[in-house]
Amino acid sequence: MSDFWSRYRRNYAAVFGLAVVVLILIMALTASFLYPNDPFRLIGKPLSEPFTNGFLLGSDSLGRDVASGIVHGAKTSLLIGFVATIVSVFIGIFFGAFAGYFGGRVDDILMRVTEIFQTIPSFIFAILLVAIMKPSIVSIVIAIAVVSWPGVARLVRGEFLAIKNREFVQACHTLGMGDFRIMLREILPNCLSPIIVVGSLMIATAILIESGLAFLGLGDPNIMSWGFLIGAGRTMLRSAWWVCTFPGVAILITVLAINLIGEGLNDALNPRLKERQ
Amino acid sequence: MKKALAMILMAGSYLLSGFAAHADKSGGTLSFLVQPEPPTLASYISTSGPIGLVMPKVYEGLFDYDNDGKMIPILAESYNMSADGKTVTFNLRKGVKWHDGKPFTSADVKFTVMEVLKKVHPRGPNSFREVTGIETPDANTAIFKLKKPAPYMMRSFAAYESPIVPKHLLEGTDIKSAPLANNPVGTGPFKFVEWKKGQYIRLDKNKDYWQKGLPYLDRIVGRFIPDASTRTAAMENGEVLYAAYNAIPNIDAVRLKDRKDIDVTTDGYSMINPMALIEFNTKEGPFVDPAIRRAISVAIDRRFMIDTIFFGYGKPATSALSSNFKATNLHADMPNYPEKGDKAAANAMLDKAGYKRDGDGVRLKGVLDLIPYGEDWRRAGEYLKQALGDIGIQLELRYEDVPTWLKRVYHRYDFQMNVNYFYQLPDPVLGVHRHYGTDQIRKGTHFVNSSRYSNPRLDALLDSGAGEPDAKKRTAAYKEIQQILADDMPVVNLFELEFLVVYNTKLKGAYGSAMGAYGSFREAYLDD
Repeated sequence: MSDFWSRYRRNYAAVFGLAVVVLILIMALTASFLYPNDPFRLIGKPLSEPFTNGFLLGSDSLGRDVASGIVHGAKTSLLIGFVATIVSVFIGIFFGAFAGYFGGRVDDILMRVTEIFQTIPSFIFAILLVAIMKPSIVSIVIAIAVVSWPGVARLVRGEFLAIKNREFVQACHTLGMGDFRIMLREILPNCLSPIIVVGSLMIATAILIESGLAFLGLGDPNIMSWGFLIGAGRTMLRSAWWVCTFPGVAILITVLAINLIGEGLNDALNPRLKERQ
Repeated sequence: MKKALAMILMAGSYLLSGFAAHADKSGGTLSFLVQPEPPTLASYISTSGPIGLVMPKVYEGLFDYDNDGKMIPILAESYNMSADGKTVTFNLRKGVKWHDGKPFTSADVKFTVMEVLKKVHPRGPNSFREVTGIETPDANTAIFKLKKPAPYMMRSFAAYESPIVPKHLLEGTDIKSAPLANNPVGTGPFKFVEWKKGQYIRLDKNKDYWQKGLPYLDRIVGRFIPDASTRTAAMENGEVLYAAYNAIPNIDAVRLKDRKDIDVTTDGYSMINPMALIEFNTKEGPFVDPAIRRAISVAIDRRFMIDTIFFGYGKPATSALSSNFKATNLHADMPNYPEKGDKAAANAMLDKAGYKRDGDGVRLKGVLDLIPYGEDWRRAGEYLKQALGDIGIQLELRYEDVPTWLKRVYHRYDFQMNVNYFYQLPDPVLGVHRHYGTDQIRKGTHFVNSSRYSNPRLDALLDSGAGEPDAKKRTAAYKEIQQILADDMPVVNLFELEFLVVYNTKLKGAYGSAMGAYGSFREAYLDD
């Protein structure tokens, strides 16, 4: 572990990214203390500029506090990012592991299914799914998970293909170990590093997809999120720049920070890169 | 000295050019926005908005209406109503020709009303429901025979509402699929020339128009531009000169208004009369008790909604009828419609009705459906959720796509409260009765009585109000109707929407009709 941290620490950008994400996490967790009011609450003069009428980052067209929206929206964005990623990583591991381990007919079928999903443009597919299911936080998580698992599936399949013929796996076979046990206990732990790296990047993508959906008016209308703020403010971009700009910056910083972490994890977990410096 | 001379010269040339333009109004092309692209051009089958923007330039009605609601003779020169109100005689204009050269006669009027409007038009069956037959003693006289007096019928003769179509091109064909639909032949000031799908519709001047000297314009081009900011840009650089029905979003209209060459008006919608409202399910769910609906109406700050969401364009509702019905003495201000909202009073009403708050301050929970016509309506929903939360009504917002929403509200009645807007049209019989009458509980028909509100007393009043030829008695009937509705509140009216027309000040004479953008533009001209 200390070995891992010392390698991660060597990438300054990754450390910076981690610090930013921790900050945002703290912000999200303390949202109810920082801004105890419901972020949808109309608390002041509509379209106040930043630093006027008691609004740190201005207010939107109904007089809602943009700063409060960003702090509360952080919760939604991070939550959706994490949950959607976990769900899609599980689907991906399931498909990839079976395809890679068993090969042959199973591999063919599972990979064709994966390819069908990969050929549909992911964002448009997500829009379609949310529109069919009616916008809610659950349908958004499902949509994001459904469009982002194929990448994981292909990665896991590749790892399983590479590892399944290694001697230690063959040894397991000779010892009479069951297929599922080999997959779960022997092979999977050996391909966790790339999955973690890909997963961390997927969180960033998930946040972007959620924002995009909310921007197009397909967010959960009862939950504050960054995309919602931008979508609600985009029509007045030319007269009230602050409504869109600050949540946009929040998305930018978060996605950048998560990408930096992913990079750092890759450096720290990939043994082939160990001697890079 | 030089400067002064230059100024005098400039002023002089300015005066001259101004004079020249006034001397000759004719000529020029008017490009205007049609948003979205119309599905067909058959204005005798569909009342869809974009069709209304184009077709009244080609087809005409018997009358038009000016901004004060007075009738302007178009295809009819005058009319006579018998004392019992059951016979209306129209004297038709002589010498009018269809765009294909055939003469226009009373047979066209008879065919249009009896075979087209009464059968395939969405609102025609209602407007002309009392008409049992039309006699045509000669080519220029049409006598409408009515079962009962129908004063409201006289408000529905504009080209958008009741276009007169050529009998010789429709008779003997299946009217719903006749080729006339997309090759319209009318009597209007402009002839249809071409429709480039996805781009524009072109109309050229009718040189044989019955009124000599009109129209002034040589050509009208209706442009389709799907993206809102591109539409605004086209308005800003003078590519289009006229945009109605909020083709330019309010936020941009407010900004453009400050320019010298662009102006904004709310005129031209009084015959349309749009009203934003909340429909309630009065048969099941949390809002069955009228006391709750009254409290909701009292709690809402209508002024705030208008000012912040619609940029000041709108009028707070004060009754079930729009204040535009003041012109015909049918509107009366009612209680339970405070302009600014009174949450304390609303809370007191709910306390008195016995709805107690639980530990979280919640009296009851519900779901609010929102009309999926854009961002403004989402903002309205977000406001209502907050405002009604303050009086202990906790709402969840639901925003679906158009077909799902229509099915939910008008096919399955699977809703509790629904934000919507309705056209009240030029007479309550045409636009308001459909919300409240027991006979208007029509499962599967859109924009009728989805509340399933049914009150025999109200039905009787609606019936007598519809057919009452005596103006005083009609006023009294509608006053009682409004009192009943202010008490029972199956629908809470929010505010009268004011759609905008954004136009280039170069364009003049396009604003004389109460039909506004749904008018003929025959007197429009360009003042360069």
